[in-house]
Amino acid sequence: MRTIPNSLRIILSLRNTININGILYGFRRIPIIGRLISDRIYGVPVVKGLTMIFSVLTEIFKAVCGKLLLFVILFFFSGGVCSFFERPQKIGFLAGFLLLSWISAYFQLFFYPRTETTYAVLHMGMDAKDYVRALMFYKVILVFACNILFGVPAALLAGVDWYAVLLLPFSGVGFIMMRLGMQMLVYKWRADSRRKRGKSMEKLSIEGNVIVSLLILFALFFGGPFAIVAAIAYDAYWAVLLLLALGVPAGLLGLSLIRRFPERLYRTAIVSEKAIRDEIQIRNKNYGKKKTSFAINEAKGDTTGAKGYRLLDSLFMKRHASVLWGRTLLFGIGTALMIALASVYLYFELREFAQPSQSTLRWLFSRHPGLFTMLLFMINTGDNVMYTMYTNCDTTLLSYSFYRKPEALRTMFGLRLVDVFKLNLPPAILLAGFGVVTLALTGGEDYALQYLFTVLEILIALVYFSARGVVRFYLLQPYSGAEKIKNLFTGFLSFLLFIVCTVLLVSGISAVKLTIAGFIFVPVYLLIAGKLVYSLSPKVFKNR
Amino acid sequence: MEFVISHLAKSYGGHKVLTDVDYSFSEGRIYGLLGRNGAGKTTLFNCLNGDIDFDKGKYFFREDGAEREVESDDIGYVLSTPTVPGFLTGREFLRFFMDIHSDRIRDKKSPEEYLKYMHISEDTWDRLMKDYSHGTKNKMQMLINIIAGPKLILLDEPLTSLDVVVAEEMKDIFRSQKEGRVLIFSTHLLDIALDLCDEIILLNHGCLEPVEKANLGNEDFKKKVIEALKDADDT
Repeated sequence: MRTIPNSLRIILSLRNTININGILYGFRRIPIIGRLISDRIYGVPVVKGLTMIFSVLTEIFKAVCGKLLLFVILFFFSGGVCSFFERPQKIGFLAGFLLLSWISAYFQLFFYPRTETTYAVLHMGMDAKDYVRALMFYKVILVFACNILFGVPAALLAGVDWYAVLLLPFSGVGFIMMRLGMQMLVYKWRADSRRKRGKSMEKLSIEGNVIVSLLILFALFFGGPFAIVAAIAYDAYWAVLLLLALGVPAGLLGLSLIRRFPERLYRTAIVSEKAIRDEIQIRNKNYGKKKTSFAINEAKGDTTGAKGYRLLDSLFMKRHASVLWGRTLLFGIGTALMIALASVYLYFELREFAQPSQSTLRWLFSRHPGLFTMLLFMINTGDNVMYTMYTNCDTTLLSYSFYRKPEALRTMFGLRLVDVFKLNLPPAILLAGFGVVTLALTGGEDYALQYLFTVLEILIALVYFSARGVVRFYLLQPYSGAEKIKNLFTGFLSFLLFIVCTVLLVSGISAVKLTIAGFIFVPVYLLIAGKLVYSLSPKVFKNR
Repeated sequence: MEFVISHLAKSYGGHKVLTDVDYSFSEGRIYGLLGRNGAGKTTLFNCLNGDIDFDKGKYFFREDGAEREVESDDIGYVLSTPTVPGFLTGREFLRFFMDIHSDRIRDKKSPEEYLKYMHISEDTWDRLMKDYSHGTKNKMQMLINIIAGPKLILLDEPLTSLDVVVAEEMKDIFRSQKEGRVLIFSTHLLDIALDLCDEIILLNHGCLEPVEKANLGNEDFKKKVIEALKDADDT
């Protein structure tokens, strides 16, 4: 039987190898450059070494920076809410920490069949108990260390009493162990019950019942914030402290339950989880295929007299109206709901403040117009449109040589760019309308052109985000059959864009400057993108 | 006119699929490309159609002694599993194709005439192609591939899973289309190759090997081909 540190070393080493190969695969998928990289790159020591450094840094970044960011947000958020209710910040901080600890404990999936789980437990024959315990050990150390490194200073800054601060690392870990212990206890009961009834344990999930899980998640995500606000409003510091203190005995109880979990059930639980996930994956794949096939409606042929590729595009849009515009409708409703909530907030703000210009929404929209860019970034992925275009149109037409000609690809690229822009337009119009109305209601602007620039900023950002999806589709062709290929390079580009949007949001660049920058950048981007699609897509836009 | 493949090679990682494909195909003939499952027939077609890159070699047309590069319009590729865009009707697909190839189609006919020529029944013309039968999809795919008059037509086991009537109709269409073109018909079924093709070539050890056609239809000849295929598989 392997010791925990030895098992952990193997798990981390496997995870690292998977990450390294994923990164190298991502490089090989970069247009043009990727074609120059041989498949022997996986064995080049220098490249592997550099990639390993990057992979380890990414792991550390994910593990540490996420926690740091969480504590920063918790600190400022608790400060803001507590000052609104005129209560000491320590209540908000502790209540927030408690909720985050519960949520974090709920999302620790030690039996989840990751790639490294499959390799370690199912292929390499690692003891399943060692595997789960090593993962738990790793998580406990990580949470404990991060809570000491970031949680303790943040709590002290928030004015939390020293004895409560001491509880933070232990409670955070305690809730994780309690959750795992309870999971194991329930799983053991269910497994024993099945065995007594002579039923198979195949597909018995340790994650429990889906409906119960959803109810718990719903309670945590929607009830949690309300409970925090109530705790702050009623100054329930001692109640929160008591709940936090309960984390320590809960952890000890959890540990005892974990120790009593039968060894034979570790592997059974992992194998069951894998069987369940595999089945879900196959079902989703088949559903995806069926969904896109059923998405074709029997709409009448073209009546506009369009010819050639225009005819093809027009018929495609017409016969996929429900699936394409359905998504737009969904985003539109989401945006409308968000706007409705913001309107209620605006109403209270206008009632509260003597000067409407004191409104936080006004401050956000006028001082941080990058917010619109960030919102458009989040809602304009275009994935659904591209997926439908690929599975129901391109995957068949790409087998004909005429469709792979540069002229054909460029024409379709242009037509689709307009289509995606149209599909993304309704939520953007709602957003622009709300932005302008809010600015007008909260005191107008120094000059009327500001309204125009707010609208133009949104429109130009919309052009970019719409084009980005189509360009990515033509240059990286991210599908294989009905499945999307995971691509770290695309993920990296999206992450970079997210950083740019965050900088735009935080920097406080004005709508005028943002619009002007957009009007310079977007046409250049479109020009370069058009040229790249013309020259590269015949080589890279293929069925895989 | 000749279609020439010169020393074409393709491997996946360390596995060599096509080692040295070197062959000349003459205009007006149907070539039966025979090979067992997994011999590399589809890989060869995918290389010729530009779907995948190959490691070395080239292919071209030889016209009046001069080499001419193969352009994408020169090739028609009929897949064993017919691929047609399901959201279009047969008539719309044809209309679209004729629109974008208006300058290339010689002896232009109406879409209806083409559909009739392929024995596609009239009641299916305005139905979405996603609801077409396998055979009708196959005919549509074939129609699209011959209408613009490509010089080379690659047929990747196009008769697989077709019923007898449709298969016979398709064979007649292939025969009628060979004038002025090269048709390469891949199959792993010897009888179909013997029935349809003017020449038979074996894809053996990643190379193309001509089979003596003088004895077409002779039982001994069949045995010889089967032996060659067995040999290819054993190695």
